[in-house]
This record gives sequence, C-alpha cells and structure tokens, in this order.
Amino acid sequence: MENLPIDKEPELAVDANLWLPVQSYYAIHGVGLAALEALRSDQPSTHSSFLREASASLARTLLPRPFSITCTGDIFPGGATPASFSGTGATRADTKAINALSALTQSNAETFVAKAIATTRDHAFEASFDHHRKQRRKSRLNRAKKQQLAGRIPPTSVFDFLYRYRLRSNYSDVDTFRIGQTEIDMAVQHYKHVLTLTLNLVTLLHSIIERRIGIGPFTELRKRFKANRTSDA
Amino acid sequence: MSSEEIDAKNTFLTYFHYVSSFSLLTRDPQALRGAQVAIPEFVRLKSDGKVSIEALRRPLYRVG
Repeated sequence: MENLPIDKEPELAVDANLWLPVQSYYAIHGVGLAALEALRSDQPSTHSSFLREASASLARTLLPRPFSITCTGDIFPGGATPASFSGTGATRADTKAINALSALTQSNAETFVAKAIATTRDHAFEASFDHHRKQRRKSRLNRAKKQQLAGRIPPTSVFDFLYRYRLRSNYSDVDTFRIGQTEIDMAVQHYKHVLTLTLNLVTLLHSIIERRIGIGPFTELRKRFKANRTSDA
Repeated sequence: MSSEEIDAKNTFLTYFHYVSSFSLLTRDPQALRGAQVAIPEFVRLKSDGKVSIEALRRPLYRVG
C-alpha cells in the first residue's frame, strides 16, 4: 500500500477514503492467506471461506486483543443461542447500550470494537436470510428456518468487519461515504486510522509467517517483495 | 442539511468510530507485538521446514 501525501494535500483524503478500505482488505487478505498457508490450514478459495478460516485459525488463536475479539451466537430476535463475544469482557448488552455516534474514548473503545463486530454479524444474518427469501420467493422466514441458516454462520471477527467496510464504502454505498465526509480534518484522521489498523494487523500476520518459516526465509520473502514493487514502479 | 446528507454523515461517523476504536487500542505497536508473543498458541508455533515458500509467494505477491 502506498501512502498518499495527506498532510500536504488533506483534500485528497475524501476520495482516498473510498479506496483505502479496498486496499486495506486486499492487503490483509493476501497476508492472511499466506499466514494460513504457513499454518498449513486449508487454503480458502472464496472470500467467505477465507473469512471463516481467518476467524477460527488467526483471530481467535494467534492474534492479541482487539484483533482477537469475535462474536458468535444468534443475532436475531428469538435465536436459540444468544450472541456473545470472546476476547473481550464486553457483552451484547454493552454493545446495544452504546450508540455508534456517541463519543469514543479510551475506556469505551473495546465496546466500540465489539459493536463493530456485532453489527457485522447482524449484517451477515440479514444477508443470509435475504438470500434465502429471494431464492425461495418467500416474504418471511419462520424461526426454525432462521435457526437452521444461523447455524451455518461462522464466528465474526475483524476480518469480516473489514470485508463489510470494503464492500460498503466502494461498492454498495459509495455516495453515502462521499457525501458523509463533510469535514476534511475528520477525513484525514480516518485515512490515518485505516492505515494504522491495516499496518498493525499485517505486522501481526507477518509474525505468524516468520515464526513458521524462520527469520531468514521470511526476510528473503520481504526483500523480494520490495524488489518486485520497485521494478513495477 | 437534507435528511439524506444527515444519514450519510452518520454512516461515515459510525465507521469513523469503529475504525478509530481499533486505532485507540493499538497505539503502541510494541505492546501489541508483546501481547502476541505471550499467546500460548503463538509460542507453540515452530518452524518445521515443511512450508512451501513458493506457495507463500502466490498470495503475498499476488501472482498466479
């Protein structure tokens, strides 16, 4: 990923923020696939299988907080297994109680992360239900059917959140994200935060690969990556 | 400001907060790295010489 000269030309941030989630997701997807390969996990061939494996084999076992936070259970009224989190002390009640537009502080940041993941899970359930309704040409699903579909939805993690954000900001809701950035300072801050999140997560995934193949081979891989980029430029 | 603009602003602010919450909790990369090396499953990871470097190049370099 290239850094744009946002500090010198802050107005670039608004357009950059429409593309950065795409770059962020694919950077993490590429390094995540390599980390799974290094762990000799099954190689996912689709985004949904990548997200499933990344939650199970990376987020829940090899990443520190807040990247270890995952949400499981049923996020729909009447679900048999209430939604809950691992990797955090936050509860579903906490995430429901906090408004996503309220002030973010160091002390409530973990609840915001949990809410980001819970709302992502909520979207996954709705998408699954919608897909089934359209496929079966039904306007409603009964609770038993919802429960059956819910059983197929794996734990939700930061990887799912980044995929959701990538689709929304650059595919399904571009205008909203363009119009919604009304303050340049905020757009600049957001650009920097997305970069920070991405770089931190990539660094932790790199550590997994390095641990599995050793420092020498990993350093060689990095050198060749840099050389490829220079020759492409 | 129209209701559409207010909705858009709120949507952006929601994602701004979600992303910022990760940043707030990961301001110290060294501490993050320290937390990872304390994870028992991470400690148990070993290099066994069985990983194909060629197979790693494909996703890392995004080649065929």
